[in-house]
Amino acid sequence: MINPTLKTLSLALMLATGFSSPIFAGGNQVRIQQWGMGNGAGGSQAGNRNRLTVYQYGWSNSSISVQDGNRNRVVVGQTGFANSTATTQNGNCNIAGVAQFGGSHSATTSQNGNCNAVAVIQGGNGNSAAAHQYGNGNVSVIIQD
Amino acid sequence: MFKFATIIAAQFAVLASATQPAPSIGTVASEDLICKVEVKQIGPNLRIRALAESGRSGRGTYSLEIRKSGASGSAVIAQSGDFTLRAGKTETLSTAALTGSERHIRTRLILDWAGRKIACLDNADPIDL
Repeated sequence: MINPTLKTLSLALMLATGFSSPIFAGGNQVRIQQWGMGNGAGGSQAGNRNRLTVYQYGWSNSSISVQDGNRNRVVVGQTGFANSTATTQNGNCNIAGVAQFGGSHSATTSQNGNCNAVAVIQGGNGNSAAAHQYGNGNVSVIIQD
Repeated sequence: MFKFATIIAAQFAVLASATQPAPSIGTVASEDLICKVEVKQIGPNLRIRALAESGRSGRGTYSLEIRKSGASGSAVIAQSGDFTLRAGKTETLSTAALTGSERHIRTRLILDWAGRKIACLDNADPIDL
């Protein structure tokens, strides 16, 4: 088991040192793929119609994505064990999709604004998901099987 | 993979059904306010709608929390925001969908409206806070 504090610190360090993928304009697309253990990926999108895709395979991987603007899209796929992801959306009509397969995964999503949508799919045992929304016309779907 | 495709298709059907008009949740006096969390089982999925009605028009804020705990995992959905009621009309404040059965979830809806705060916990009648 990886110390959660260490994981948080390593992810914060990664974000601070440029491994993250900040996007400040519209229409950009970033795709990150990681294999193994203890990887971290951070993405930030500001503007409109940006896309961020993260795939992680293995265990104890983490991803953080932030969307600020309108009609942005983030997709996170994690396979293995004890992976985690956190997405935050501010603005209108953003979309976040998270798919996790394996066990003991966690997903947290936060949305502020209107017309946002989030879908979390988790297959396996011991998974957990949390969706927080403030605004009007937002939709949350959580599928666990 | 086919199983998940089936589940996802079913979830879209659940969400599509959420666009149906809100059912009446009762007859209220002019100053009264009522709330209800409607939980409907649609196949393996649950459609959850937060409903409110008042005898007069006005604006307020709501907070809906849904907690699920089951063999397939745990989930929390928290939705909040502003709402507007029209006199005598039941309004849908928020909608969510989850896999599972009703016995696996707990719901809490709190309305803050015209200086009054009420709560609907699971299937119980509204209570003043």
